[in-house]
Amino acid sequence: MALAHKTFLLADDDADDADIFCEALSRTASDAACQTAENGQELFHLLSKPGTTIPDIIFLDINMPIMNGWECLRQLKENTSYSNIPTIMYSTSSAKKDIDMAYRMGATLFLTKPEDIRELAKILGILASTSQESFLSRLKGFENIRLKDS
Amino acid sequence: MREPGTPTLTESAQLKEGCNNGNSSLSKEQLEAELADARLLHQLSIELIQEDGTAGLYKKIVQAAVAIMRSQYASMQMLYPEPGTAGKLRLLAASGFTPEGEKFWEWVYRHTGSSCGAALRAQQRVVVHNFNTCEFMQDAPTLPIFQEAGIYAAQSTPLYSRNGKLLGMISTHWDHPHTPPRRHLELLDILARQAADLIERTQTAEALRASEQRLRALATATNDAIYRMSPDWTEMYQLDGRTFLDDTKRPIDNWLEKYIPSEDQEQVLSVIRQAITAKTVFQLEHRVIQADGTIGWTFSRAIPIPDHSGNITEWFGAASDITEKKALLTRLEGIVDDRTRELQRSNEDLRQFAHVASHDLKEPVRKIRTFGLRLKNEVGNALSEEARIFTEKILESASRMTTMIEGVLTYSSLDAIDEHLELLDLNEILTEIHNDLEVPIQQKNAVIKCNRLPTIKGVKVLIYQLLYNLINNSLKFAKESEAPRIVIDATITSVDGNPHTQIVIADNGIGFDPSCNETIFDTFTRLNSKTKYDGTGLGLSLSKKIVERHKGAIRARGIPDVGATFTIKLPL
Repeated sequence: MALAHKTFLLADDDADDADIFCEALSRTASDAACQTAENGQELFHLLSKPGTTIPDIIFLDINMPIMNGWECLRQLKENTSYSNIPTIMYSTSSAKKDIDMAYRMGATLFLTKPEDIRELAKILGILASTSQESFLSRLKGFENIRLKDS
Repeated sequence: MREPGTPTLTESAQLKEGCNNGNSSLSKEQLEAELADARLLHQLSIELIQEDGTAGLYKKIVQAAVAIMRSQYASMQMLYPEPGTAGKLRLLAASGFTPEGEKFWEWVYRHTGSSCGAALRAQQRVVVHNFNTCEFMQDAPTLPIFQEAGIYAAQSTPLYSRNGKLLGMISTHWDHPHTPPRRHLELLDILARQAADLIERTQTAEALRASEQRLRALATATNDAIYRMSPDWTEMYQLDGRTFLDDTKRPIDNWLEKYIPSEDQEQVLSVIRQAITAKTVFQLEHRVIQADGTIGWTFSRAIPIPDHSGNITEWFGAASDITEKKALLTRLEGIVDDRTRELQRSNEDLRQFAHVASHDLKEPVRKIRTFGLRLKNEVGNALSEEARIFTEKILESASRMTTMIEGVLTYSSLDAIDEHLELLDLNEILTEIHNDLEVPIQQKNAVIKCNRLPTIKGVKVLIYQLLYNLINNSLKFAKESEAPRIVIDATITSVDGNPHTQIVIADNGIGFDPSCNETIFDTFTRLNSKTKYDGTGLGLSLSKKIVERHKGAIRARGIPDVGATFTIKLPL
């Protein structure tokens, strides 16, 4: 059973990728909300704006200007208001070094940006419809999901 | 040890000792004569001790020999040893001979027909009573010379050093047939002892003089500064600085301040103290104040000079100027350091560049794929057949590019991999590869025959990739007409004395031209069309790099239409 009205927040400086992300999410979970920020700094602006809904899941691109994904992740994990929000690194990279770093810094998952929007939609669909406890096991089979120590 | 003259050899078997032999009652005249002989020998001993003018002493010895032996002639010779022979005798002094006679007898060899030649052969005293009847003289070409000179009899007594070395000969000659009495020969032996001592002393002095001369020549020939120090180095006796250092002509005690920069003094003193304690050579490269007042570098070496009881009397040293050499060395070291840093930097830059470039390249290529797939999947129906084919080609090319970029990323990160080596059972790795390649193996009906493989030290992911690449290649480049057959075998071999495993992977595929045995490992080398055989063109260069990272070697041998063989050597 889908849980109602999840809010996804993505920080990515690549407008195409942001569009594809929102498009994929709307295809699979039309009731989910998609918020985007162009970098880490803007993400914090958004979060601190009065009336902003606290997101259910945060996606962070790694290479971004002003504040990159790593710095953003670090600050999120240091802030008790946000440290419990599942945070997923969302990058072109599939380098072991980046994957290890992400988990070491407390990321929930590492998702290599899929080439096929349908693949992305499937993953986002699972994330939108399940709780954190169960989506981890349901995402195991996906090639783009890089699990810890894989 | 051999006493001079003790055994007497006579060339004539009928030789009888002197007529006085055995006669115990001596006449007054005889007693007086013996007293005179004893005085003569005593006087000679005193003169020998005073040791001035060796040549004069030789003369005195032969004159004494004439007196003692009551002979008309006498000669003394020194032995010049020659390797492999008894050596030859050279005349030192003579009495009673004409100048021509002295010239004729200057050199005597062991084959010379004379009493001294015979004594040289026999290495002991020879007495000739009468040359005209002496056996060994009968065929000697020298017999007429003796006859002409009016010499009838002779004795030659070898001169031995105190440690038994033959040094020369003392001979006396008579103008009539004669047998020298034993008493005379006994006195001669005393004289011979003195003569031997004199020759030995002369030889030692000569050797010392020659050695000193060589040393002086050496000191003059070298550019090094030469110095002499007191036993405890508190005083410098002398320093000849050449153009390098300031001279010290009289003993000084402030040499340290004069020659050694203050910050280096402690180090120099410490090495000196060690040399003094150990009584060994002092040797140090240190800075020095040069004659022009600037600081230079010297390589200084001094040896302790001991006296008879082993106490150091002084130190003798040489200090060479290595200022320029040192400056050059410092400059060279600087250059090498700079170059090394530059190289390390450019290596690191290259690695970073490859990593960043390939990482950045991945993004646009991924987007080509993303939008290409959307075009194909979302508006594909609206496209013409031709447009759909074009889209497919765009997607395929982008896909190949992704694979290549991944390859570059792996290649550039190989140098940086810092994983620890672990013990790897190659059989286990091969089983994994077999499982991962199950689909193509089944599709192509391939047979992989693998003998028992050893356990090696390596990085697991890399060794896996190495064997995977090679086996995958064998499957990929199989002949269409024949099911692939891959044989993997391992033996133990030695490379430079170190044990290695040699793994041979041979297949029956399409093979390649032997001219490509080397180039096949170059990056992006493709021997076959990519439409027929996909791949990055990086597989074998990666494999080679993996082998090299494990300090091993890889070799390829191809025969077109027969197959390919890859040989890997890895340290055990």
